[in-house]
Amino acid sequence: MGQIKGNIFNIQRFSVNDGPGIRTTVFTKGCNLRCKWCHNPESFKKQPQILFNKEKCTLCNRCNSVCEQNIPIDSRNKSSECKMCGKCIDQCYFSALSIVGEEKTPEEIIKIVEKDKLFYENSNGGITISGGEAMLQVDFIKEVFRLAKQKEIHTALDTAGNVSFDKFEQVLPFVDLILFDIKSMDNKTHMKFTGVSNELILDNLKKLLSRGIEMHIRVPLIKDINDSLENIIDMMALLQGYENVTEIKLLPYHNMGENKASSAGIIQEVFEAPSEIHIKQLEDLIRTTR
Amino acid sequence: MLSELLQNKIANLFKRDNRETSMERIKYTFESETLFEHESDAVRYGHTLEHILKNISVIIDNDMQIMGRVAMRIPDEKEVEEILKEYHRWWDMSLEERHKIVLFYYNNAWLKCRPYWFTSFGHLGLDYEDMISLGYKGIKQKAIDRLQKSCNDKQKEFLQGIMICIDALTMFTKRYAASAMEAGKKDISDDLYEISENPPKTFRQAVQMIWLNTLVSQKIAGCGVLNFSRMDKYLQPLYEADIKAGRINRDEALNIIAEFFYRNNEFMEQTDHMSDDTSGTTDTLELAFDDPNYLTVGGLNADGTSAVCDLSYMMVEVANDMKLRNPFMIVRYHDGINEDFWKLCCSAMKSNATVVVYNDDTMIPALKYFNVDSPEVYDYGFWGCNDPNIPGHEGSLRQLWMNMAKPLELALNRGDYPMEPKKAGEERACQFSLEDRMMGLMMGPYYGIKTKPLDEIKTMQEFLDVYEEQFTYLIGEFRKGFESDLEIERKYTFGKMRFEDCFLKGTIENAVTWTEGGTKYHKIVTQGSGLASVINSLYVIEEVVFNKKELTLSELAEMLRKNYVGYEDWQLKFKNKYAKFGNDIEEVDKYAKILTDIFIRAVDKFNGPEYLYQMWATYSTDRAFTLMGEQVGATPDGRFQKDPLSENQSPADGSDLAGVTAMLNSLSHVPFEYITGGPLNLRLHPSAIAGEAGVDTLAALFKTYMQNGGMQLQINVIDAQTLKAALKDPDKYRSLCVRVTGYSAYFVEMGEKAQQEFIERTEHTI
Repeated sequence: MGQIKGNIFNIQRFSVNDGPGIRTTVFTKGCNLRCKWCHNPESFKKQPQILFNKEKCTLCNRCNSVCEQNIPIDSRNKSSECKMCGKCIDQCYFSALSIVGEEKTPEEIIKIVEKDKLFYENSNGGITISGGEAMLQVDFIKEVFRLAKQKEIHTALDTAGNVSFDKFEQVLPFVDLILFDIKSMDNKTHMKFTGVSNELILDNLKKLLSRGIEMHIRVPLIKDINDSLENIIDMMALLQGYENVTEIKLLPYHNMGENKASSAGIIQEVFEAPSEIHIKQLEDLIRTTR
Repeated sequence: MLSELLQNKIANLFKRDNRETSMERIKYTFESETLFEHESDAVRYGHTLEHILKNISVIIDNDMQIMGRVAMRIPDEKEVEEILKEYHRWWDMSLEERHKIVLFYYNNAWLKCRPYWFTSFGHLGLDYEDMISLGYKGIKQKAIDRLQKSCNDKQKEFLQGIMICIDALTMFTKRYAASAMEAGKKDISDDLYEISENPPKTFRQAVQMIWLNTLVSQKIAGCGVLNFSRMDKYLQPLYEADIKAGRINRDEALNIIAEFFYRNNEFMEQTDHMSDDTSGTTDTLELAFDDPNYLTVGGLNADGTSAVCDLSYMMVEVANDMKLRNPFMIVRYHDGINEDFWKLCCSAMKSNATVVVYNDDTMIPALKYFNVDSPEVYDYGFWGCNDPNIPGHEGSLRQLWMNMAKPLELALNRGDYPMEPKKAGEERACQFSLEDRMMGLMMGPYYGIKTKPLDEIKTMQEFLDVYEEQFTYLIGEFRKGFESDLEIERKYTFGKMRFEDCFLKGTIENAVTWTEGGTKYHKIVTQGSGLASVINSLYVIEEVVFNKKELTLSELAEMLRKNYVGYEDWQLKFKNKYAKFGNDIEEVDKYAKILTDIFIRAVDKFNGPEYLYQMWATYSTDRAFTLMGEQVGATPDGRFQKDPLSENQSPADGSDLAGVTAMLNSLSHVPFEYITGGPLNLRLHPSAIAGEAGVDTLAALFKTYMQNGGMQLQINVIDAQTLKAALKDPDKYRSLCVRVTGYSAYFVEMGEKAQQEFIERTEHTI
């Protein structure tokens, strides 16, 4: 296979919300959606980037004294002149500056993932690859999954599905479970809030459903955008009859991504989560229409 | 579910005043001081117990089945003054004089209430199995039989003392029986008459017997912190027989367990005894006031079978329903543990019941390493705080908090203590002062041996050798002091019978106290303290001095002596830029084994058949990590002088960032098969283990840690927000019970310092 490398921005151990059991979630960097509510905005770009957490900065100035480009600290995360030399980060003793994103080989990933193998075995957990959009690095993730399967580790892919289906064909042999995100059934809304059409996504979803692979459907729920009864009814109609869908999960909006967005120099719109009563109503709807 | 009655009683516990005192006990104890002063020690002890038990009120609660409590009231100021005057008269003396009377104690607040002629130290695992199979009559008979054999005068006195104590317990139980009869509770009365002499015949009788015995041992004789040991195992036969005969059903038995647990809380204050800044602790006039009793469930038997039985389930269920401080319940995990039972335990831990886990698969090998034999090794349990105990086979606690950062400082300073350098010509007979030996703490300056100049240390291994030299030297100094203390004990305090001598294996048989060697085992719990601080420091030394060669050892030592003044960048770098223990990083974690090996070799060197007391290694700081930190200068992990050391087995504050599995993997590097106890505190955010799936997650998480060689885990499932809310509005959170170290405490009753320490623990989320 040669040296395939993946761009990743986080490896999160003891993940308990990305599939069954205790898991390690590998987050790839780079996404072809631009969901306005995204809680991982540092994953938009594929390239590594500098994060600056203003709250942690003590204005000690150590970083500025080593920056060869003389980029001021508060614009280093958005400057095009930054060469990503990393010197400022070495000098930051307060974790205010950090680089998000690094290249790793599948072997390096598996070495970390493997450390918790017994935790997976005892909890029916495993590895999840999420993003960003993991499918944009299909060669890389295919190799990670292949190695995981070789070590008898359960594999899950978390995807928004906006890639051509032949890419799915490549990874399917090594995937036990797909976590498929549905942002909105309404194409106009989808376009407006994610920047892309949902046609390809829904088309892929249908194909995957008919393949019989185990799937969890995940819906980020944002007040007044995709929390209508209609949206859920449409979605349930699509999923009707597929027993391979073993879980449908509504994920109410939270603004924990906001801090990360500002660290990455992105200004993010603030949304609201639906009321708890409304969420419960939608969950009941899902239960009754299954 | 708990009965409404108990729920109400529990609610009332939180309304009690911490000044409540069993004034009767104090009155009759004071009376007895002169009544029997011309008698021999053992007889005087027995008569004192008898005098108190003859006179104190017996209280029948019409709404309860398990009887036994002491009358409590709030003393007025004048009474308090008078009592304290007596306490001062007892104990205001030079340390040397005091030493001849008590030898070992915890602190002044703890000692002050204890009558010098009627002293027990608590921390005991009595032989409850024998107690319920022989009954008081049978135990007395042992003493009678022993008297027939050859005895010297001291031994005769000892056995006489034992018989007086047993008779006093019988008399006290009969008083309860008579009162119960008067109150129209015939069945309870019959139970009490039965157990006043005979072994209990039913489950309820056995629980009643153990309870009344506990009431006397703890509230009269001052034996706090008991280990009820494997109560599920030794009561199961009686429970089964009752069920079979239709004498009891499961719910009734649950209620009896609940009453027993409730009684354990009722007779204690709700304070946190390790917070000396809370009034309950400083002002108490009680002998045993809030230190919890331990109870063990499950675990392996010597024949390889599991001890998990009906009562194991039921006891965990009740603990889960109650969520109180007492008893401190230990679940013994072992490979192949019943899955349902394990899930039940995890579910209780998830909902913050006072339940913690120990691993048989490391504990039994560790205890065997320190020469505990089979089969009794399979009955191991604990008393506070997280100290191992072989029930029935040993007496009370001796302990040493071995501050492992001290030898590190000595290694970097050729045996000197920079915060108070050794004066020229100053020599000490023993590095451990008498007071430190009595308390087991290492306070103030300790000087080591003059190891080689730092410039001559060329490799990390050479540095580790120097560290080991200093470490071994300190352990040796402790041993030296301890042995000379034992000489004094032989002269002054041997032959002084205590309550527990009635209920241990070997004391009556040998007609000597446990302190004289009546029991099979005597141990010094040797608590390695500052585990993560030292591991992190060793890693920094290796990296910066020997790998990157950015500093020489002398330069590093100089920075530390200056407490990083003028080297602020280095301090920040060490603290924030170097990998830390708790993140599953091999290069750091390897020091967990290296350090443990050094520790064990040092202990081994000063253990052996020539000593009565053997050191058993644990990793535990209790809450003393702040106090111990105050005794140590700056360390290479970026810690400033006098800052706290790392707590128990936890990674240094806030430095475990790679997730809880990574943290547990780091801890698995400790070779726990040489470590006989100590807690690993884990604080989980409730969202990390939410819902039904959360129980499975927890069950898998703990099980994996145990399979990977972990020893102990205790958790709090609580977020910082809740803790902060509790600080703001304590009345709303009176019953918020948290696991601190080897005990649970009500969060709002903890001192400010303890609360802050608790909030600062890493909160593991996802």
